[in-house]
Amino acid sequence: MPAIVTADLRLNTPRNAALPMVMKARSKPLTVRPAAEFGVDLAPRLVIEKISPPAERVAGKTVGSTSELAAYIAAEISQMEAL
Amino acid sequence: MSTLVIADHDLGVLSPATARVVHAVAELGPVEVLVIADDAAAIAQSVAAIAGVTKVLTASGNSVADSAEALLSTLAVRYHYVVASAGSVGKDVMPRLSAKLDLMPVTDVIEILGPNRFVRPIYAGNALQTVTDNQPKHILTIRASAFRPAAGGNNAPIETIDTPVISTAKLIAQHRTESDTPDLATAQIVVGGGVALGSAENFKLIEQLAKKLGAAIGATRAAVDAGYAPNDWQVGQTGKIIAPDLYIAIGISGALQHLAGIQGAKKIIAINSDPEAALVKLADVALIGDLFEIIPQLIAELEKASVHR
Repeated sequence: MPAIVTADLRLNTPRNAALPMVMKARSKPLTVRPAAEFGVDLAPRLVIEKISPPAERVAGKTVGSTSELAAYIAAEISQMEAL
Repeated sequence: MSTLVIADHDLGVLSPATARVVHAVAELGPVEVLVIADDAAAIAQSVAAIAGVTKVLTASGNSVADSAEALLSTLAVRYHYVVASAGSVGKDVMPRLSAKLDLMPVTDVIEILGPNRFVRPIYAGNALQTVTDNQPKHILTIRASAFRPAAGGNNAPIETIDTPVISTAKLIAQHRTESDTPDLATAQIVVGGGVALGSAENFKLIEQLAKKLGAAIGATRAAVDAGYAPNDWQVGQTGKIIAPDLYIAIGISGALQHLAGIQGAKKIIAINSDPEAALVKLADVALIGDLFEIIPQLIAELEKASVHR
């Protein structure tokens, strides 16, 4: 001890705070302390060159029957195995 | 300018992700791979066969963050890059190692543009960020599914590190989902099911189709939350990120969080009753209808066409 524990999001159902509690929480004092006080350097070390959108997918088609779909899957698999 | 890759393994078997990570970083310089395991010998043999590996290091112990970090921070002086796959071990060990070495890691790398230029997805994959890392050393986690695996046939030397890897945490037990389907994160074909399946019993339909295709099984968060599928099948922002050649999404509407996990898929097939579903619009091929009629028919059709893997 001390220990840090992470939990799966399904571990429990969250208990949502009731409105009076939320209001009460808002009146609690909040202390802001500069990061420099802790002796840590928070300057980013990575330079962001650019941000771009990912490649867009081209629109597909709708097939009318299961047999057409099965044929498509069969074709995809044989193509996969050819590689 | 050499690179140290931390091998991913489970139950004494090397994960397919490692060959992909090795391939991803091969252009950065000679690659050495570290295997931390109680019984590292067999895993080390598999690693030694990966093309591009110049040396395999083995250490006995458990790769939990505190123990692995202690070993890695002493080893790191010899390397320019310390790399792991962006899986659970990488996510556990690398942040701690980065903090100890006072370096900022570059996580979830999907493309390496140069010795210090990397591309990674941000905002759940809705944008790609290119970063330059001017630090003296680089800590990277690699999204294995974004890279092709390195070839085999190598025979790299294996060296044992005598320092024992001791953790303050003790492994008590592991509870596993028994499944003979392929590894979800690196599978060529994935069949995914959504909440529309309606029950764990009905989810078996997905399993039948997956077996037929030699595919891994995925599920949406809603389906996992509802208890239809186990946690480790979850695909999406809070689950696994997959990049199969073919993804078959059944009864999945396509919430943004799920789409974040499947963007790397080459081809997407959607089976859904709603022609307006986001995934139907995104898919390469869609079939509109009742999945409970379609899947048995599809399995029969595939049987008829003697499709089997």
